[in-house]
Amino acid sequence: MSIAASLKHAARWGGLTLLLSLPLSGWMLNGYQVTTTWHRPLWLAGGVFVGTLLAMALARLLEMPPLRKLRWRMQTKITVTRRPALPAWEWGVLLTIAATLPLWLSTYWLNVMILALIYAVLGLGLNIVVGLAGLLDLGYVAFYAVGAYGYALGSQYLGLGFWTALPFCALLAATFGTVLGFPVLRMRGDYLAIVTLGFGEIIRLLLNNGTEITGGPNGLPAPAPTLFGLELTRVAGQGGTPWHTFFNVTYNPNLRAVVIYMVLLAFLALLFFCVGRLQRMPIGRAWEALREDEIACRSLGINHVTVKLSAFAMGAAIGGIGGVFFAAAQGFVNPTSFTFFESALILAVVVLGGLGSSGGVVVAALVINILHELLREFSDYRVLVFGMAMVVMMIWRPRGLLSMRRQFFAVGKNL
Amino acid sequence: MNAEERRLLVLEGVRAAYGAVPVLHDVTLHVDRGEIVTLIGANGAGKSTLLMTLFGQPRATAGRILFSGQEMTALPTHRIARLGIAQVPEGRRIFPAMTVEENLILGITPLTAREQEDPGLRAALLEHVRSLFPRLWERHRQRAGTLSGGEQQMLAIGRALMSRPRLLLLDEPSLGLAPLLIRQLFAVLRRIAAEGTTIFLVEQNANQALRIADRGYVLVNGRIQMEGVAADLLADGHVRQAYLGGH
Repeated sequence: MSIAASLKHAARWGGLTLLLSLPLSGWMLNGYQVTTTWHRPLWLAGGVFVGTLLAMALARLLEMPPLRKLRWRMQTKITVTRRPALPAWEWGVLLTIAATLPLWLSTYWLNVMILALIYAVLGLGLNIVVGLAGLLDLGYVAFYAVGAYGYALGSQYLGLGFWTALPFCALLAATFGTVLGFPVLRMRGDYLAIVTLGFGEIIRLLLNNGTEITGGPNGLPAPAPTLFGLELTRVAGQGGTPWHTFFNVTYNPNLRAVVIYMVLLAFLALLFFCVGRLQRMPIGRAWEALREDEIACRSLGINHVTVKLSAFAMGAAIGGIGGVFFAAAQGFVNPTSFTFFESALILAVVVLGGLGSSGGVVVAALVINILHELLREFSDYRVLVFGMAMVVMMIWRPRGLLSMRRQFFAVGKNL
Repeated sequence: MNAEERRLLVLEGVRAAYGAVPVLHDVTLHVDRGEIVTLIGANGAGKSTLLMTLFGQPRATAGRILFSGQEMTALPTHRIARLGIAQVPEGRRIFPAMTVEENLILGITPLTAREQEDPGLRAALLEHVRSLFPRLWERHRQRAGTLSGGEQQMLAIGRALMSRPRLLLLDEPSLGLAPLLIRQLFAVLRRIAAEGTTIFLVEQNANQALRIADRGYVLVNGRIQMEGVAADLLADGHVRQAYLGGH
């Protein structure tokens, strides 16, 4: 697409946003008069305009020779003929809208959204284990806990920051996943579910009773993330500079949530992309084949040990990253956040969304969390409503909200 | 080439058991390069166990298994599959939720990483399957679980051929197929053999199997009771009586 066409394209979406957001957020009832404030709709429209341009530039960048080679490799040289669920520019629009949410969401809803996105991340991770590899894991929350505590303990004892904690906790959780994976390799179905359930409880009890290290039920503080070395708190710790002092602006207590939200959103988008590619790579096909028929897999020379372990480790690493985000967003961790109910909830996200379907999982995570908040008034009956929703779903959409779609291949010139 | 070099697969005094129950007793047989060899026998004689033992499930408790002169008795299952032996398991065992083409592509797993990434090779292998089973290829975007029994069998064979095996093991490929389909299937097997792939065929349908095979073995209660040229076995009175519904 040429630059002029891109500009036109972006302008069209910006204009549309302006048109939509003017009545929504621009007109305000002030006494008996309607006053028009332009800055908010203009900001939104500008954001969409710039976002669309950036998305298209990114798409363009991926076409460049060095990156194209990389992309090519990730596509494993198979041409996918069927139109994907959403074309690239629609993804761009969706992401831009998601990225502009902090501008108009209240702190309360922003935190709800952060939690929803964390659940989406966890759902995508568990989806690899349950949806793709077909290993029913009822103790997934253990890896989430490992990630969260890894960050909290790491910052307390090793001085680990948020950005180092991300890869560190992913590795830590992956190690735990592998450790759990070894003994359970021989098990299938119900037995596997029971062992993983036990593992989840063991981790929680360890955290609860290891009072000297983990603080036990009192929990541990988890520091806020820093941005390019600047702290997002009102008063910086030793030797740090708070963000608002550096830029000489007034302190905004929302900033921590906004930064976590944006980083989380970017990570979710990346994860979504990677999981989609993984499904089409040999390892992803091996996961699915293992779910379908283990004996056939072994007769085809697939090493079921490494394939199962890789699924466990990959799912665990993603769970660990979810935990880091959770700890950073809450500012505090304690064992009550990692009960079996959480595992059940994450599994519900995966099943509601549709086993194996990444899009469905993200939608289900949003639906469940937002519903959770909307039903706060009926908090005593929340689980009841939740259970009924599950039953209704199983009757009407047994394959989930967005059921998994198979990729179709064609023998193209590249194959 | 002397007799030693012609041997592709050799079993020497192989025993196997499920727990405490012995199934195979001192099985000795060999398959030469380019041959079609069939193993016939009644239900429960240990035919499928023999094929499974080749892949180490269950492991041979005694004896040696050699492939192309190389000892493979103790190799892990997935390593055996990478030696150049492909198995078409009993009951087909395709991946029902995946498309026909995904099933076929999973068949290249035993190849080296380099070969797997070679698009030309992959296209050639798919083309080969297409030429053998045009009917199957018409359905290459369909979920494998929606195929008919005959098509699923074709898929299982096609999937095994994707690894360019030197030895193709088939376990009861005619199981549950209509007579017309069985004839077509055996014609394809003969074609695969003519292209240079050695075939070791385990069958209950002894009549058909012996017609396409060069040599045959008769397995009774875990022991090789007879062996010989297929045509001789087909004419033999005992064999006719026991396995061919003979008159």
